[in-house]
Amino acid sequence: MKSTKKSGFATAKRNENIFYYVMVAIPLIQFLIFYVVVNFNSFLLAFKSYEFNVKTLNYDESWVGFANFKAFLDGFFSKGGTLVQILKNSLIVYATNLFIGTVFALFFSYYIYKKAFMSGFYRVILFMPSILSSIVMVTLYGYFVDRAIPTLLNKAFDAPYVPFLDKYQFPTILFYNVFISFGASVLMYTGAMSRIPDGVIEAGKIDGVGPMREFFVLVLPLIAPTVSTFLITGVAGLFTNEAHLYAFSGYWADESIQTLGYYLLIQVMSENSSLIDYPYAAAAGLSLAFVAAPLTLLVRYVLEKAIPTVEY
Amino acid sequence: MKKSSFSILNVVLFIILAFYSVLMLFMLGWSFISSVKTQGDFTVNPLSLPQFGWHFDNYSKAFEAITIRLRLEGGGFRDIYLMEMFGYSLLFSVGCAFFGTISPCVVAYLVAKFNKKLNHVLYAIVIFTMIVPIVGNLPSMLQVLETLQLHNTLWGVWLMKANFMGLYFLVFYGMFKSISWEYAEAAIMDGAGHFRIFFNIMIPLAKNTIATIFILLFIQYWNDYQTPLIYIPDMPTAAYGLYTFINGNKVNGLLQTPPIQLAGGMVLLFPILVMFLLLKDRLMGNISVGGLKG
Repeated sequence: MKSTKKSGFATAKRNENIFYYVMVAIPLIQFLIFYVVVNFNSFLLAFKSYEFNVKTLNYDESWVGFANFKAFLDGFFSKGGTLVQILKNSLIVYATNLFIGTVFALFFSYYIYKKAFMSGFYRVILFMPSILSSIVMVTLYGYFVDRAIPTLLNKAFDAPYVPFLDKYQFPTILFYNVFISFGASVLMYTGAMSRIPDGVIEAGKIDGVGPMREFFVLVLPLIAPTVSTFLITGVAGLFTNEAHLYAFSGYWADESIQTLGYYLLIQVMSENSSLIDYPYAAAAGLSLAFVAAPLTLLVRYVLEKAIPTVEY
Repeated sequence: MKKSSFSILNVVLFIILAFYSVLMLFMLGWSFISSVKTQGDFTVNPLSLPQFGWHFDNYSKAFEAITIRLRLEGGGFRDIYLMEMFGYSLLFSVGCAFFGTISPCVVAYLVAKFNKKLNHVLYAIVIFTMIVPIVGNLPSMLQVLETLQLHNTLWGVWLMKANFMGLYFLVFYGMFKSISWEYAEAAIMDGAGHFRIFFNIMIPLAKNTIATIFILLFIQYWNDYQTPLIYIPDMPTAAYGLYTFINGNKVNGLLQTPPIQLAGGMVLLFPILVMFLLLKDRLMGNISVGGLKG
């Protein structure tokens, strides 16, 4: 009897193992190829150089040590390095999204969570840009701020006719980035707020807590883990966010408005890009990853210290 | 949650949101009206309704003008029109959304419901890849796909997007954690195996979340012009075609007038807008995510 029980248990365990390892195999292989191999190859690529051989009509590969890294870092540290402006732009895009985008997203989420007047309608409107094609939105927005808004301001207030995207390209693109950014964040924040127990809010009301204090003292601390998830995963955006520049300008955006994400993208997505450009782009990406990774971990550490764990 | 009473905060937020909504709807409405104007009407009367008739023929012109010319290997060219691009959009979006949904769903289920040492590794991979960004591996990805002869193939791009990492893993993980294992135990008593439990019990229980994530990913890929541009250049999707149509105009001068460009944008926008309005409650109601532990 005991051995039957034991063999039954062993069979169940074996079946469980078969199921587990069969199901996990393909995702794991995918991870090994498209994450581990790709990133390892990216590492190797950063130390290589390619030249087109007109005789063989093929690319000749050679190892160049840290030359690609040096070329990239020269953009920051050499006199008149163009990457300084690009870094500044990235910081401005990041700060705008963080301090304006996130703050508004939290307030808007609170309004929707409280089911205030027309909150259902606003929820739909805020979410809409995130499901519409960026290339379509950029086209519509471009003509809207260059034709409709200047005409409207001119007719209503006799203001001089200023096509915004043409005249103030970077601020107009910054505004666009915030304007369309609320979809996913508002969805997640309202989801987190809806899980706050009603009792907590009711107890606050009994204690005479007003809406502003309720938002800052009760709601914000209780949804802090969700906010911190967005903040931690958002740090990489500093280095990868191309701020829709590729949709606005293709690969010929002016250097004065480029971001690091866009700069990396056009190294391999320009009209004349080829294998020759890959090693420099890989070295640039690797250099930025060396900054992005510890920075993200630091933000995570700080947020974990600053935000108490909440269970409800 | 009871409805809130009047407060200054709510009034201020109402006004800001009203301004936002007016701006958004005005932009969409203005773009539609402008898309049926003549070029002259658009230039002279940018804010009024069409003064010289509603030119819906702009849409047929846009339909014809959104083309991509492919260079054939044996020499010569082939023009791809919008209908074929819609076909590629469908194949690309459905495939990427399917694999992009099923992969995190399966791994999240395994990690949430089985007690294996590998779970720690899988969970650590998810958290690591979320918080330690790898920047700029695009050239390497292209090289690996070319080496595997997967570049410019739908299978290549589907496999590339079939990763289990990211926010949707956490969404599935949280959801499977909240589903009681008692359903599975009852099924085991009735002689069901783990494959049957997963496909016949767990998947139906998770169908709302699966459907929501699938639709969100489908829309994301339908609108994505960069991935097809880089990885399947010979299978241009509608978004890729529109990108080339719009930006081709910037390079080559105004080959197409702004109303025709806006009509081209509307062609791509309408199906997704209708889909969104029909499925908005599903799209905006089934997802939640907590903190990053681990």
